Amino acid sequence: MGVRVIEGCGVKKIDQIDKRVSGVDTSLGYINCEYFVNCGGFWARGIGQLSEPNVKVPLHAVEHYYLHTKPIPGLDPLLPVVRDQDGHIYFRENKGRLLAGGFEPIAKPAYEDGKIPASSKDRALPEDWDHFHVLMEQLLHRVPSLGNAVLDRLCNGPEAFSPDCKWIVGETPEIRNYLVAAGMKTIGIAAAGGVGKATAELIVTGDTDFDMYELEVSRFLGLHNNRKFLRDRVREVPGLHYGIMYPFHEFQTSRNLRMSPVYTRMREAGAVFGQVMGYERPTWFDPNIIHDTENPHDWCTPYRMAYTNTFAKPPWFDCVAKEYEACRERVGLADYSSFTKIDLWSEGNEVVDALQYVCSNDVDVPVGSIIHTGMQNKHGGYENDCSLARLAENHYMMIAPTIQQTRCKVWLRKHLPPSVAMSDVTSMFTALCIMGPFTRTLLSELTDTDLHPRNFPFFTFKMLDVGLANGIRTMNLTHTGELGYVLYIPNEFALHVYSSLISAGEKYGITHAGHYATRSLRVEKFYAFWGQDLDTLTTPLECGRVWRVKFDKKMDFIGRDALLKQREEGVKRMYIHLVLEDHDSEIDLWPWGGEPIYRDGKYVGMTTTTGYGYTFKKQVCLGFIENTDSRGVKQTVTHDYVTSGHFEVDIAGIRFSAKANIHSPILPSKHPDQERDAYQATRGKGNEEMNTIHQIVKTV
Amino acid sequence: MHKRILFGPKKFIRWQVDSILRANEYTQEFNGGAIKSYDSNQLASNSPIEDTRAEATCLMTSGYLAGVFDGHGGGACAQVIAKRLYNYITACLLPHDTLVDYLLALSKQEPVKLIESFNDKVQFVDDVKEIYSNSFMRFLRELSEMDYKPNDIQKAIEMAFLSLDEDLSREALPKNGETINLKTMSVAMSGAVACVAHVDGTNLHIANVGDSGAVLGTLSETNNWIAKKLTEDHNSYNQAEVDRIIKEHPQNESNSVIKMDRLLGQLAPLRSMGDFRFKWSKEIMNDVVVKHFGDHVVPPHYHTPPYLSAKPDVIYHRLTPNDKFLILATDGLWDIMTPLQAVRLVGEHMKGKVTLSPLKLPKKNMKLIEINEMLLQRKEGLEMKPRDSNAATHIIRHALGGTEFGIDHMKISQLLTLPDDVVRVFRDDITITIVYFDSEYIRHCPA
Repeated sequence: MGVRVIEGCGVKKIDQIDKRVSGVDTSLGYINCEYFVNCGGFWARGIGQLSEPNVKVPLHAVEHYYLHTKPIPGLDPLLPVVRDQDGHIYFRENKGRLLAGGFEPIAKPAYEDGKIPASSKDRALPEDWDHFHVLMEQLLHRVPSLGNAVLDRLCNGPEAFSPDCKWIVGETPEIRNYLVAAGMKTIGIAAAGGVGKATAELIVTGDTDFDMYELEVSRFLGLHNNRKFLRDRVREVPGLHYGIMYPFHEFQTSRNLRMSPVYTRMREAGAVFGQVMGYERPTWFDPNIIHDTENPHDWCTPYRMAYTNTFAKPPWFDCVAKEYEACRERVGLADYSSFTKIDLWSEGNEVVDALQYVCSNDVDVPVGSIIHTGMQNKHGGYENDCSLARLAENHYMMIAPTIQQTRCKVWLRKHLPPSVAMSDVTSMFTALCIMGPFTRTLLSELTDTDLHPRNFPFFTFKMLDVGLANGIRTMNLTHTGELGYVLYIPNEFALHVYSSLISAGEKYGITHAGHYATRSLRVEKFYAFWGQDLDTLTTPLECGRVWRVKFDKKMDFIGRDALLKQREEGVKRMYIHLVLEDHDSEIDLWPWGGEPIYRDGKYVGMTTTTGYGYTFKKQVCLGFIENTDSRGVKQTVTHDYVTSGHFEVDIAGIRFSAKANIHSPILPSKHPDQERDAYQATRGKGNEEMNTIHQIVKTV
Repeated sequence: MHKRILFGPKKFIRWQVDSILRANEYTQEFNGGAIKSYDSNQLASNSPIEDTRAEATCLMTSGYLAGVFDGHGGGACAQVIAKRLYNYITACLLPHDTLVDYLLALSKQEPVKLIESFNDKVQFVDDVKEIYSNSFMRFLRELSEMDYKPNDIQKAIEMAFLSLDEDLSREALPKNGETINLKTMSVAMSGAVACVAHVDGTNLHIANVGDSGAVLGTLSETNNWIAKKLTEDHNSYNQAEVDRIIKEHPQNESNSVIKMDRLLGQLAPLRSMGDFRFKWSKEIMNDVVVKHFGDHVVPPHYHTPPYLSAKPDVIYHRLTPNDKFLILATDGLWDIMTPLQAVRLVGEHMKGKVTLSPLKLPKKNMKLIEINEMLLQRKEGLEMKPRDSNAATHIIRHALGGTEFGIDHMKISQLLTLPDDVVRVFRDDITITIVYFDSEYIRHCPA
């Protein structure tokens, strides 16, 4: 054992055998290896291309500027590091001199042609004083006396940024035991400790003791590694470093890439778009929008991009209110096309057995049923949270969060035997969700299939004809707690089905609903989402979903032991639903996630997702709480602990009283529905055997 | 130009500078086809200028030709090849049937033309005219008898260059008993480098012999200008070229073949047309050249000729809609400006804006406030409009007078008023031709 650092050694090729790293060919010879860590800085993307298959390491270098002054007499060595985020600048004392730089709002990509010269001499970037001037003016504005300081030198060095301004770490989806630690965006030295620890843990134990999904290299798709995508995107990424991050930040560059077949119709209907995994998803609709008629057909140019730009009541509030109301009381139509869709099948029942092992819920349900299930890791945490529709005896369709598109396939590939076939059908289907009390009547007009709950109950699947089209994979659920259907439509039928729904839906007041409206519905209804509420360290017992864990299925499943142990010991964290009591949404700042939660005046946890509950007419916060005793030891969180405490949520320094719940609430409606109201996504008690919904499914 | 004392009191005022810079401007616009227009200009340093340029449309095949020719040892060779080369190139591109028809028409004295030249202001004198037309007929006849396919454009262009060079040699050497023709001999004793572009639809071929250069100006999707140098200079800075020449001669010559960065210590470009005193055999040199011009004409260490080749590099590039223009220029420009500077200047000129070369701080130990003032001043300069409508003139003006704050009129004035005997130290002849492409045509061009 031991470590050897070899400098001046060029990497020529990274080899793999059976998709597992086997060796590295270098300019100084060949090295057999078990693990390989690509920490090549701005070279990392290029190194990714030295293996077969190529490994995606999406990053791009930008020019990064800072200056050194000559010694400044009387400069206090204890001068704090000053950041002026309005001016995008920083400065600090450095050996009697000032070191000053910043992160300009529009950065300059370096080595735009993608070729990074090998020698440091050829790599030297010229000083572009005009480009630095933006920062220099701000430095002189903040510190006028700096004007008399004498310049020592201006430095311009390349720095690598990822397309989302986050580090890139973890095992690559393409090759096992091939790890990445790159895209450190100028703070590599500060990052080294944590990134090094995580990387070492991945090599030694296979997982990390803190959740890293936001940083993992498996968050990317191929599109993120496109050189031009990166080159365009990194113009705005460094600016985020010091920019004010308003809620729901949207990138302005590298947009209009993935668009559903109904994108153009959404645009006509007033959609304002957000980007998720490269996908243009309607966030809200502004029906009063006046369209630009001059360039109506340039679909590549970003159109109307979502913005919030405040921490108080957002500009989209009224638009979303109308959409929300339509979903609750009439018919709302939302574009779910970005969801990850995976088909899984086998010759015999191998797929059933394999999924039983990977999923914590019982997947051996009657054909036509849909189950929600977690895919747990060995600690019981959520690697994935998805819906599985059993299309046929040995064929399932998995619906997973949009951001799981690469990640969930990696997990499945690791755990499924070769006899189970897997196909990513995300881009084959357009997903339209219709929700609201009149959706059954509406859809009945367009299909011959009897949609009565006797024939097509909640949480089941049917292949429907809709309008003139056939083969529409229809699921009776909405992921928001509303009645309705998600239609997975083969792309070439999408416009047809969409148009049929819109014209038939007119008399029911069908209304387009964006992502913010469906989000608001699910937060109010206490629906947890993977990647926002759930992560690899959260277990079903902690988030009120133990009723979806089937300990009694005949097979072992990943995480079973950990969950059984936790069931015995009790949970040390609990997911709760808080309704703010004395918050005025017109005046007060809103909660946006990450707010501290207090119980009886003591800090107990933080919110994950939050939203305005348009039915409660109050702010709703979801979050996790703990129960730490006076010695700082975590105790079990019981129902009593939740119900007996007085809770507060701190928003920007003001604490608001909150009512805590551990069950999904039943919201009042003009059109009550037994089926809908009986379903609670999040439930307090652990072992409710055979709930009513499940019974409906079983009796089909 | 009259001789003046260096840095003397005589200064040009703006309109005088303008009229000198613009004297050789030429602009030609086209309708349809891959080329939208071209701008060209020249600024002499030698008197008379040794650079030549030529542009033409092919009449019997499709396509355009544009090129710059930089002569040395007098302008004769450059002038002759500029007027003759395009006929050789287009002839090599003719399908065999067309070539035969063309020969027939020529022999019947019919006025058929291979090319239509633009901005051609000179004519051959009658006696060489006949020699050249005989050479060309002979070349055409040989070509028609060859088993040769003109659809390999690269091969065709190469053959044209080499054939013309052979003809220059043949025309200079006296036939049995004849006296030497001083006109053709002076062409053969002088030389020229050439950089020629052939554009046909989206197909761009560049043929290059010597140290002129072609640079493509491409607009990236982020609206930045990218300069793509298409040619490699054939001079001693090009190691591959140096190695090639050393390898072609015995090892004991390896120290004398290239000396002081020049071929046999004399010729800067390592490939050229003409210059037969680097090509002819020792016998020819002794029997013909030494007799007429004396021993000093034979380069030192002249043991194993030929030392010089006229074989061009022919580079192919498929044009994309992002390729906006091509700059052809002689080394007079490239000695004082980088390809990227030139591309930015033309690019910004297209958009009607001014480019400043990157700021280099004029002195050490500057205060930040001083730097800030300079930067503010540059910001203002950046908002000014260019003075010249011809982009080649725009480049020349910046090459002579560009500073970090914009154009310095006094600097140009000074460079233009240098006495003839020293001007060559400060600048060489400059010839620039900028060919603008029609992006819409290229976008929809099928081939």
